[in-house]
Amino acid sequence: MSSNGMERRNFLKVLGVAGAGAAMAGCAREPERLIPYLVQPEEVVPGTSTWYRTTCRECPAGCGMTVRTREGRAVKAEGNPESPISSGRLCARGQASLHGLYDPDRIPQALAREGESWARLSWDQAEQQLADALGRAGGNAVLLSRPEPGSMDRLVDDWCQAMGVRRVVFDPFDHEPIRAAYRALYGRDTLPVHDFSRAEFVVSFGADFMETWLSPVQYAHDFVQAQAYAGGRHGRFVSVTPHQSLTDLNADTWLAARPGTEHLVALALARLVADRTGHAGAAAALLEEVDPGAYTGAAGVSQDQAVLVAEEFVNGGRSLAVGPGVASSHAAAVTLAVAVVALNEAAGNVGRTVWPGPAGPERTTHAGLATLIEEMRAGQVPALLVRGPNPLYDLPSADAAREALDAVPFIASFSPWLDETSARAHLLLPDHHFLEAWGDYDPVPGVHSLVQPVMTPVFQTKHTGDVLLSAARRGGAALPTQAATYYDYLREQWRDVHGRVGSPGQFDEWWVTTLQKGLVVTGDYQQPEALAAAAPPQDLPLEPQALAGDGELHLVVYPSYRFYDGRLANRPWLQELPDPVSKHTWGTVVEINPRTADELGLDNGHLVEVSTPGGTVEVPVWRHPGIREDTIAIQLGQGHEGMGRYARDKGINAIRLLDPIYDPHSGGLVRVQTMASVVPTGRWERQPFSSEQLTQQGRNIFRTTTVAAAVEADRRPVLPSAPAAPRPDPDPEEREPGGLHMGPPDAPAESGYGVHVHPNEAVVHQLQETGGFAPVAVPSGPADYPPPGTHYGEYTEDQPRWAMTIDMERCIGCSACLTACQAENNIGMVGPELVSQGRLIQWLRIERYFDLDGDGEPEGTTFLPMLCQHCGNAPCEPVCPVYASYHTPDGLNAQVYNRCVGTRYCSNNCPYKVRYFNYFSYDWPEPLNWQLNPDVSVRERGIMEKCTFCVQRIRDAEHQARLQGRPVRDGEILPACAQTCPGNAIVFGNIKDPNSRVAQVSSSGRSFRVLEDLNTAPGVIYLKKVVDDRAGGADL
Amino acid sequence: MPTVIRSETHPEIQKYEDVNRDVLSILGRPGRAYYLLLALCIAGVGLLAFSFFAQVYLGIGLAGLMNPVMWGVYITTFVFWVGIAHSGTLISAILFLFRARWRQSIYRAAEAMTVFAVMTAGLFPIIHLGRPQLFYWLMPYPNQRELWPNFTSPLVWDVFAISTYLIVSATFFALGLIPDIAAARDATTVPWRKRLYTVLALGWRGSGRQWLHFNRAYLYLAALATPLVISVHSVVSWDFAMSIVPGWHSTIFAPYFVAGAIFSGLAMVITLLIPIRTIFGLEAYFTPRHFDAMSKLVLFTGIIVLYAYLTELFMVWYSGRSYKLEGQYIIAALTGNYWWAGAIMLICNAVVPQLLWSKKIRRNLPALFVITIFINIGMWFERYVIIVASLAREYMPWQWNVYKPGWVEMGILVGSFAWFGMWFLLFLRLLPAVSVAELKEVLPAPRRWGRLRQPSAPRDTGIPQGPGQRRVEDEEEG
Repeated sequence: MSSNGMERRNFLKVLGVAGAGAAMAGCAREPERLIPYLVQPEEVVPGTSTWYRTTCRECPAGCGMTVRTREGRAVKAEGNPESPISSGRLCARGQASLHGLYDPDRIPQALAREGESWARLSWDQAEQQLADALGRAGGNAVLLSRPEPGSMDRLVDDWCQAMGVRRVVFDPFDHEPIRAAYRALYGRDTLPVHDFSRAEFVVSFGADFMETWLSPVQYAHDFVQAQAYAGGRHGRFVSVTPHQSLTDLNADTWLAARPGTEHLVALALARLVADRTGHAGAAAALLEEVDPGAYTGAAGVSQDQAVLVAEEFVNGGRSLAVGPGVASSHAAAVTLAVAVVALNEAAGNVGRTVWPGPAGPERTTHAGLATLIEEMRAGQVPALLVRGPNPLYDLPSADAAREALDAVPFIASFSPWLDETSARAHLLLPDHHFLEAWGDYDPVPGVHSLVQPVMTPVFQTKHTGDVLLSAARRGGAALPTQAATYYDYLREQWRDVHGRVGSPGQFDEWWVTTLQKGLVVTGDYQQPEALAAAAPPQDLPLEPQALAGDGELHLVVYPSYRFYDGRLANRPWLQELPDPVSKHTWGTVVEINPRTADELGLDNGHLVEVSTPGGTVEVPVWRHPGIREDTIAIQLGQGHEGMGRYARDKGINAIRLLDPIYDPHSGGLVRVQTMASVVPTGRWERQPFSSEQLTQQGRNIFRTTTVAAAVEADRRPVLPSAPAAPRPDPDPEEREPGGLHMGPPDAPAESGYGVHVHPNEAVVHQLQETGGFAPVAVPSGPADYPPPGTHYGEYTEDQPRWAMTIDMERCIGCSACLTACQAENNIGMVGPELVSQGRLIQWLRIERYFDLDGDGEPEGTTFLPMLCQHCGNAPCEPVCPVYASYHTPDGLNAQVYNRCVGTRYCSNNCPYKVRYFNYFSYDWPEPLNWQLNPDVSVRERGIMEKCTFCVQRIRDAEHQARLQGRPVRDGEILPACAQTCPGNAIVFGNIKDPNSRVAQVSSSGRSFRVLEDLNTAPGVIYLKKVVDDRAGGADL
Repeated sequence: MPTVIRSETHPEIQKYEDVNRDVLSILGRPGRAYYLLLALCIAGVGLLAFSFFAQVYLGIGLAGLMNPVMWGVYITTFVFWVGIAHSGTLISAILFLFRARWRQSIYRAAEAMTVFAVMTAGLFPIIHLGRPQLFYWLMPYPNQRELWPNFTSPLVWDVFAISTYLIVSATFFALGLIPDIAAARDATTVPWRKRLYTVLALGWRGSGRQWLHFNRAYLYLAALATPLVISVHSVVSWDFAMSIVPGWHSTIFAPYFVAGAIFSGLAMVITLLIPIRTIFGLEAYFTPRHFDAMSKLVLFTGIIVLYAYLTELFMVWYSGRSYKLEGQYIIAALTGNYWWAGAIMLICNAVVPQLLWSKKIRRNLPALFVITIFINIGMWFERYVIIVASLAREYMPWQWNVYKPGWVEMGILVGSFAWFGMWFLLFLRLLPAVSVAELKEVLPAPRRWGRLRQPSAPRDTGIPQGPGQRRVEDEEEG
């Protein structure tokens, strides 16, 4: 029928469309040309996602990762549920790894320096240049790289040996003090392995284990698992630090030790614990000298509190002490590390919640790198290959590093993008991004994680492994492998793993299944090793560390949750992610206690000059209640001078304030080393804070409860469908200041009607009986208003009511959900100026509210994830004149972008202020736009947008279920935020199904809904945070 | 003692010819000052156009709007101009129905002001849209999507209220003009004016039958327009009162807004009439008596506005400062980031109008001119405070912010006055600014002998006693 060419009808259709298209071309944006596949690739089904398992390589933690690709492009990174490291979760950095893949500032191909510009090279030429340069260097070349445990380390080691190249392994956050302590105590150059999932009482000494410390996703996940309120038990976390980072904000108790004295607190605690348990171990001699009273006094911590902590540490379930971290790496950090081991030993934690890992290869410390830089300056290094570290940025002495690099005649960089160091290279050999590359990574003993390419490379880059193999061939060096490519080498290496795992069957089959799983976990994973520590060294510094410099304030620099050591600064998602603590974006702030700031006359946004002997920087102020009055803190990771467009000239690099002082015991950089003076410049600039609000202004928006009250509340059945017990009088403190009742939403009032009767019918019946007057027996009071069964709005019987629960007890404020949401929903990045103008678009925001006492001292912190509440009686819906905001039958508060004319009335009428307006059209420079999720519209200027509960995922799951002829399973639909939450705080599902998890969780006695008295019938149910009320809880 | 028949309201005008001469002379060759003013206004309209196109081209982000203050200067100015539009219909319709004797000379200018103010106000809902090209989606029109606008949205009510008001007030305006245009048509010799007036006069010949129909139509339209005076601004107030924003959700808003609208509208009439009176030599037409009467109305509505302020304060106090009321604009106006706007509002709207208790001030035109300008500034800031201060501090402390208008908003605000001024200036030169026909109703009817005889005692017959006339002793005039 259609063989005789075009039919009349089709012809008219085409004519009409083409004519309209031609007419519209003048007003619309120029359409992109869409070219269909000529030959359909076999594995790519348009419109269907393909998922690949790989390993996140953004920090040394090595989380398992699952990457969703559509039409051959990676669009979303998620955790690998098979991975014990990530448990299917990712942090914000992992979520943002796609921005590394699609970084518009990546080096597109091999380049060679020609004066001030770069000449394009073919890979053949580039490899030849590398081989020639190595030949000229004659065995004195140096390869500077990060540790990459796994096949890459083995290949690099073999290659270095064969080529006569010296390998220097350096990572700025390599925790040298811990390694030094473990060398001394256990005779191993290693880091501890922790099991947070069993630690009910945690003490941290400046270890930001939810942000950057060792394995943050795993630790955060396990920490919440062990600590969050469940069944009447609630863990406790004490943080000993002068400055509260995100991790410390989650502490139940903050012991604000003076900078440079954390080791004294640790020693005092170890002594107190050892006194109680009698297990001083090999540290007995050391602890004998400790006077807890004097030590805590020197640290500015109350001895009574220390005693309480020590007692809980012994008696409060399994305990764990962790530290030091980057923020506590002062000159006595090794003492602190030793004290932490002593504390864990005394409490019998070693072998239970912490144990030393196996010895690893030798690393170079900061001091070692300084030696290398001296050699380079002296002209002893004829060729330098850099893969990873960025000494020009990472080190305090940038001038020395610059001089040193200038003295090296040949520098080759494998960096995928230009940074301070690679900008000075002579030859750029850009590596694949890890999402384009083959590889593997062994994050902890017993876990072998595979890295596989999820898409073809975006640029003409080449795997460094292949470059090294090729250079070895060209240099005539004999490697102990016959592999022609790195992929072959990897498979060769994994034959060993296959053998070790003892998996039956052919390697090829096993290889495919392992790729699908993403990793192999062998028997020695999480095998505690109860190893007795040796006696601590004699020469450890025990006195409080007085900081140098003549300023009045102690300077603490600490790692960035968003940028790690600064390597991730060119990720716009991370730049626009409000810092979890300060909520500042696109820059750096100096954190000052409000009282100190008042003395100096400083408000948020005032620019101050921070001066130390090492240097001076100008930086805006943020008033942080969670920092000692005599301390200021600046985050690392910003202030790039030579990175891409998003990182360049954003904030300052705090490492520049430090002098190159190295700890003689560990060789690590002493980061807490100096006092600083803060001089106001008198200038003020509106800063890109997502919000400067510190407290909830007494408004009872979030609510907390105590363990006892939570237990009591859980006894009451609260499922709307269940027969309700009479509501007990709410606690006086749960009442509104204005007298309005804001009790929990559960426990429907007794109305005298069977709960199975539809409320409308009952009311109509009653009206008929009473002659049209409202029934007098209907209970009054806003909390009683929603009649039984209509808590979440009124819906027809056969439709689900999608709802979400967020357990504030499990939310650590890490904001990974936020970046996941940005990635899933194509949310525009507005840039620093628009953030400071209040135009930030983030469908999900983490409201960080301090609980300040009368003196402004923080008593606790609550993180309130705030997203569209999908109200059953949504205030935004009736006010939209064009039905752009409307209610779907299944309880979603939908926003029809194409219908929106932009009156913005919906946002004015939204009490939660979760609707965001596109004041401009925001750009995704090529190839960042490759990441855009094809399932979600990209919004244009003039349109309101907001959280959709990831409606694309809901519909996808519904379609799948319908195709398979079954109902949607509970838990099948995972919004992006719920998917990535390391604390598993978010549960999503159909709340009308009493067996669904969301209905079960929402029936908790801790559940409440925000601003519920407005009768919005929100579909997001929060669970109160549990505040510790055990003995001494107020102080401890 | 010679006695003459004088108009009660316009004692200086004696003859019908004077009215024709004086009023139609405004339509004559304008002076240089007029063109200068008109050029200024057209330049201002250019600024409006430029700002608007900049905003359309570069994005509505040029305005200072932000999360959470999604409405700012645009909606403030919209409400302001809708308010200005009120007094015209009040004077022409309500005072007509109440047979107020002093409306005849001023109602034309007030009606013109109404029409132009609605035309100005109508720009803003479109200007403020995120996608202004789609403004027509707010109208119910047959479309392929078979989609109506959302009739529960106060914004849709607005569309109807404003468009109804524009249509009715423009019709009323055009209808009242017919006899005067006919007079102008007969008087003018300029060909294009002749053609224009011929069309607008709709064939008016002044026959008794035409007068009969005209008076009926005018009465009915006045009756039709009267409820609109109340409804339009009530509907505009419901844009706010129907929401759940703490400073907006208030049952007092409709009467409060209507009173405020009449307050500002009458103030604007006074502001406009005083210079017109001086420039065009219409002292005999706009007498201190008129200004006195309007000032009393201004004072009266001003007291209602003051009462509304006090009610808001009372509510805050009576609620025990529950946080829902803490956000009331009145508190924000007094204490928050917008205290300066609140201070301007209170001084201009609550304090300054109290001067009008003095009869001397009510009849002192320079003083009235200054006071009414203050009132108009105050009323603009009242809307600014209500809209911006309420939105800036709503329920979620996390999303509190401070709004500052962008340059396009200021350009369009200034341009809106120029746009209004341009139409008003054109009106003055094109259409009779004072109602010739109605004014004659309150003048002594002409007598066959051309001028009044001066008998020692007036005859009891022969002099028609029109409604606005009385016998005045000559001595009383001194």
